[in-house]
Amino acid sequence: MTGTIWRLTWQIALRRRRLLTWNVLVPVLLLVPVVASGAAAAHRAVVVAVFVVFFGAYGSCIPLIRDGMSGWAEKVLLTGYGGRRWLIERTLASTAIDWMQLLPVNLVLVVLSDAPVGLLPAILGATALALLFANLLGVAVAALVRALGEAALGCAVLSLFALHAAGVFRTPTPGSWWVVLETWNPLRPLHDVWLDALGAGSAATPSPLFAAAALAALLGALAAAAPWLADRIARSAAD
Amino acid sequence: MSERRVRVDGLSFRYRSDRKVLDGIDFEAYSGDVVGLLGRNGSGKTTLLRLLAGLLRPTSGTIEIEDAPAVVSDGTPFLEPLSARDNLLATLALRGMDAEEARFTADFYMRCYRLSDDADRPVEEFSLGMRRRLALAEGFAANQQLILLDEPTLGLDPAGRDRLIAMLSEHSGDGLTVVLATNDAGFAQQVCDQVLLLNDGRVAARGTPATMIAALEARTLLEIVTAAPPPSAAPPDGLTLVVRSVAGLTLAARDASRRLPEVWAWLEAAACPVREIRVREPGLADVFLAHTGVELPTVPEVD
Repeated sequence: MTGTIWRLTWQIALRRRRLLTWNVLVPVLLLVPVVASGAAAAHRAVVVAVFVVFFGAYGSCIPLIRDGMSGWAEKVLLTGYGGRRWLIERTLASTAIDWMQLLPVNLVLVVLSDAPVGLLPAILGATALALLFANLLGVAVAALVRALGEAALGCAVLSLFALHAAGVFRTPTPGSWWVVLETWNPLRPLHDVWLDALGAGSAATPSPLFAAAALAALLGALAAAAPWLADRIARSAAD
Repeated sequence: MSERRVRVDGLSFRYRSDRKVLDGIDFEAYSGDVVGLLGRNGSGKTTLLRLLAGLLRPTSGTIEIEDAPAVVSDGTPFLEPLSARDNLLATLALRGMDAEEARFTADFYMRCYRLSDDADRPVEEFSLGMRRRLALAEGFAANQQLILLDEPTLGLDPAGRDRLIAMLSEHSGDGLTVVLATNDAGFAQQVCDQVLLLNDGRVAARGTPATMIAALEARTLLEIVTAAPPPSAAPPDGLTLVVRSVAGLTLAARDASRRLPEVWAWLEAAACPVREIRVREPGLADVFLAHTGVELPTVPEVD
């Protein structure tokens, strides 16, 4: 039945109330002091972007590794549900849950930073794009590694590289290929919107539609590669 | 007429480490058959089930299976925070069963496996025995033509074991094909139509439990528990030493019970104090020992 994994992922997340509470509180406890500090706006925006991407990538990758190790992934595949449906529904549900968990901190940060309220939809939209991209990174890492330690390292390296490629850590030379990469990078809108919110925005930001288009292509790639990725994740139980 | 559900031909499997786990396995199973893979831990039983489930690919040989099987593995995973009912409903939904039928099926199998009272408790609070019962309920509720059971009696109490035997009899009567891996010879003897004795990845012997037991030379066995290491000298003529350990020995003969006085005298002459002597008929465990030279482990009961 279509939507079973989506429903189960939500059901489990809502049943684990302690974890849910921590996932709402920790972002607030970590990001509020940073955003409220006197640090340069560009640095504060970097911290927010790094946090959101790590939140999405780890939150996607580690449960998938656990599903592989426990045999749950194998069990799902044996029911005939299909690796494609499993991974797509799981990624979308996990992204939606991450977004919901970050909603309180986003609201608090908007109030704290004195950003115009009109910026809130852009912040929430950019957070959704970044979280979906980060969740996709988590799936890729989960399919490539065999242990939680490797997963932690893989997520950190890939996330930081993706953030670097979004222009979060530096300003590329105009006309270089990095500029093209940044324009299409799904993490770019998040960084841009937080620079705006914290008062360090620039007028020359690309349309988030580029990032959305790139993300749609990546989702397509996930759909195409999902049977192989799911098989890799499921087989970690046997290795 | 019985319909063939499984055909395994010349199957071999080796892991990347190059260790050969299975070598030259052949067998067929038809609708209503209960096929047992009997062997010690590490004999290749679970690997064979994983190959049948399509979770591993054979190194050589072929496997033909009519339909995707239901699998109940040793340590079946569950969605721990969810209740037993929700887990069962989830598995049935993943298999494409509609919600109403799934609810009816889940309730039926939870009653069969004495889980109704705990149906709304999260699985993370379940004991090993309850988990095994839930795994079996999931397997049978899947309503496939073939079910693969890995160590199905592990963790079951005697009542759960009896219930499983009854379920297997009922479902095989309805045409379900069962392939089960076990080291519980008594269970295999009770439920299997055909048994493959697996040792070091090879089939040491095969047949129905009754024919394999009948083919043994020994008709009766004397199990002797001693208070000191048993004599190392050969037993009296006409009695065969089956196995000797520090705690006793087993002797076989065509009519061992008539030879009791002789055996008693032999033990007394060796100054070996006797704690207990049991006379019994041979079973599948003795067939296994006769064909492989190794004993099957005693099966623990946990609940």
